[in-house]
Amino acid sequence: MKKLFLNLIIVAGLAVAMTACYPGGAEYTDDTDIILTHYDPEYNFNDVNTYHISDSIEHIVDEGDTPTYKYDQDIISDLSNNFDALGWEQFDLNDTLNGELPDVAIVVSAAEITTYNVYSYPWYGYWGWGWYKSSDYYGYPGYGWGYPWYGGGTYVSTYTTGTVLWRLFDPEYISESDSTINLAWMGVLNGVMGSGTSNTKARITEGIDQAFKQSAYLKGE
Amino acid sequence: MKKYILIAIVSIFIGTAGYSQTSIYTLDYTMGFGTGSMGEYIGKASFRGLTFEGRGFVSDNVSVGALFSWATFYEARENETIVQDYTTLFGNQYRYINVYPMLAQVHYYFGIDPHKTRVYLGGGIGTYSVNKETQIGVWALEENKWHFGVSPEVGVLLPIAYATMINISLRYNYAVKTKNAPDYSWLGLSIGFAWGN
Repeated sequence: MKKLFLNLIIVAGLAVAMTACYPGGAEYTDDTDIILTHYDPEYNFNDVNTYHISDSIEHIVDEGDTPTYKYDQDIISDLSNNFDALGWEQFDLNDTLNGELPDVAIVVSAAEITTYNVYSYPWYGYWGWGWYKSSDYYGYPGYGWGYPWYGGGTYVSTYTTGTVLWRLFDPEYISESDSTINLAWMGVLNGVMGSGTSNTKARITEGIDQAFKQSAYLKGE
Repeated sequence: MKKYILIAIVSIFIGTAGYSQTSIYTLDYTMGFGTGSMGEYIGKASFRGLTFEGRGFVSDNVSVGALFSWATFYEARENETIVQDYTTLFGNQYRYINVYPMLAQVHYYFGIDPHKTRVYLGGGIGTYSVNKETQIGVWALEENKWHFGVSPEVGVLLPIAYATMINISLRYNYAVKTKNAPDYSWLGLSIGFAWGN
């Protein structure tokens, strides 16, 4: 009887210990940084010589929250520096309004999402901008974004995250039949938000630099 | 007279040596070393694992029984890049595999004296519950599957007290692939106590 009792205790202890174990993991907010890029393989980046980037960022926040604008110029500046480094020439707004179009245009979004539960792909639709319908760029009001891929999977998230998303498209590469602005390239930075301004700036710069580094096709390679 | 006493003493020892166990229970600390594709996914050894076994003897040299085990494999990979078709994902990855073998077992023992060191060979067959998780950023890709698997084993029982032994075993685990999950294989080195009657 005593031995049976001992065995039962051991089995019970083992059952408790068999609960899934997750040691280690991310310790600092920047450990959660991810940089995702995607491109349309049918788009020829060799033909790109000029670009235009919006001088403002669209913000997505939880209802009732105030957007944070203090990193906007850093984000646009970091992106511009990298596009310049590709040898692309930047258009200004006056050129665009005069009827000249750049080879590509870039629009930038930033999202702060708190306590978000995500259960399945596609990632972007659930990150907060899937319901965002404002696409009034370059005379295409009400157009949606055409994402040239689709994935599948499962995951969960419950954090306050900051996201920077930029979308690059060719103004001539637009489908009027189904009101879709087809993307040629996009980049996403995502991570748990921290409180330090300098650290956040550095994370944004490093993230944008990495996005270009892992997208050699922009140089035609 | 002395002759009879000597015979009696020898008989007692022979009788003890001839005593056969009816059962053995083992509780082991288990280390794991991934092999094959599992070793490529997590290269680091696992130092979190437990194994519990119950064995009943059906003859002097042969036991049948069951095993329940658990092990966690973990490795952090910094600045990893995943490329899938036209998408590239860069970031730190935290990789986990929790494995739960539940096996029916047979063992053969070289020697029948429970008070002497006994080497044994054995094997298990049964199910492996495998929980694989890859954490990237604030996301986690999770895969929970049941696998059929087999597990050959070699070990040794070292008696340290009456009915109590130290158990050391080396076990190869192979959980076959399923329709939606890869195969998993690893070597498990177990050290612990065994006790029986």
